[in-house]
Amino acid sequence: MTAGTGPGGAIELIAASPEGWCDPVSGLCHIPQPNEAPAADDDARRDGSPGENQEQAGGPP
Amino acid sequence: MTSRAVPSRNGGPVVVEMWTDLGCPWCYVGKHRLQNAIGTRPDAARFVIRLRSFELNPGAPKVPEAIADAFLRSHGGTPDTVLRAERQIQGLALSEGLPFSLDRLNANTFDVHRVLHYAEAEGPGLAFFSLVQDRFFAGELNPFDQDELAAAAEAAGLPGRRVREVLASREYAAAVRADREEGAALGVTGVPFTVFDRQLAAAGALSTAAYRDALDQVAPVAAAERS
Repeated sequence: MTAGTGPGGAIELIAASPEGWCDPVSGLCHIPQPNEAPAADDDARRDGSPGENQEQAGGPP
Repeated sequence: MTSRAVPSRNGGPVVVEMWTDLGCPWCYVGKHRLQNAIGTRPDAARFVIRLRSFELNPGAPKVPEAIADAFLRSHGGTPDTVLRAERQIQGLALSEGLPFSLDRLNANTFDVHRVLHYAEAEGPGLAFFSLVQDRFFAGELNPFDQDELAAAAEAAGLPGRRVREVLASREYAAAVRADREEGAALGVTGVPFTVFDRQLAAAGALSTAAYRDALDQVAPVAAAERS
């Protein structure tokens, strides 16, 4: 998967799952749940939306 | 992790860009982890972190309000919901040694980004933003007050009079918007969003180990150099 183009060609989106992010559309920040292992949720989607096992919560960014 | 990344030129600078916004707790945590990952490398001095602007809410009001009030106004819910979520991320930040106050303010960050661009042009962009970020999340700074923001810029080595001129003008407004547009073109839908040497990109805040892996891909460290 790529994220635009750099001087050397396509910028590759790396596979590591994010632990969290803040989303400009919903204005919410993903918050890890108490039993959620960091970076262990393979359901996390590359578009920044949460995976099925993740939840969005939190204050405005 | 597999990658088609081409190792950076031997010994040359490696630019790591992070699209960020001030009010974003994950940007605060992510930048801290990225800096830690860089700090573990024997060639840490090669790495240049460039902070790029990505306003999460360009329509946010100029007048600051308590973070809980802003959330309840825009999303509804209950004060308990907000407090619970804030305490969760506070716990995570504190576990990484980052102060995190629940008494922060929320407002439009456009002027902070304009000063960031001025600071980048003068050199201490990372130092300025880090100082503002640290004090903001510690609950010690109202960055939406121009005098307080200018004082913070001075503390980061920038001339206060020039910062006040920037704040009183529309300077660097186009640069802030251009950053957001470039981010959108790269597929940024949330922050932090990190681009390593224009070869690899990472959406969201990663673990320190994952940041280290990404750095290793664009700038491998020879086994003999590792301590």
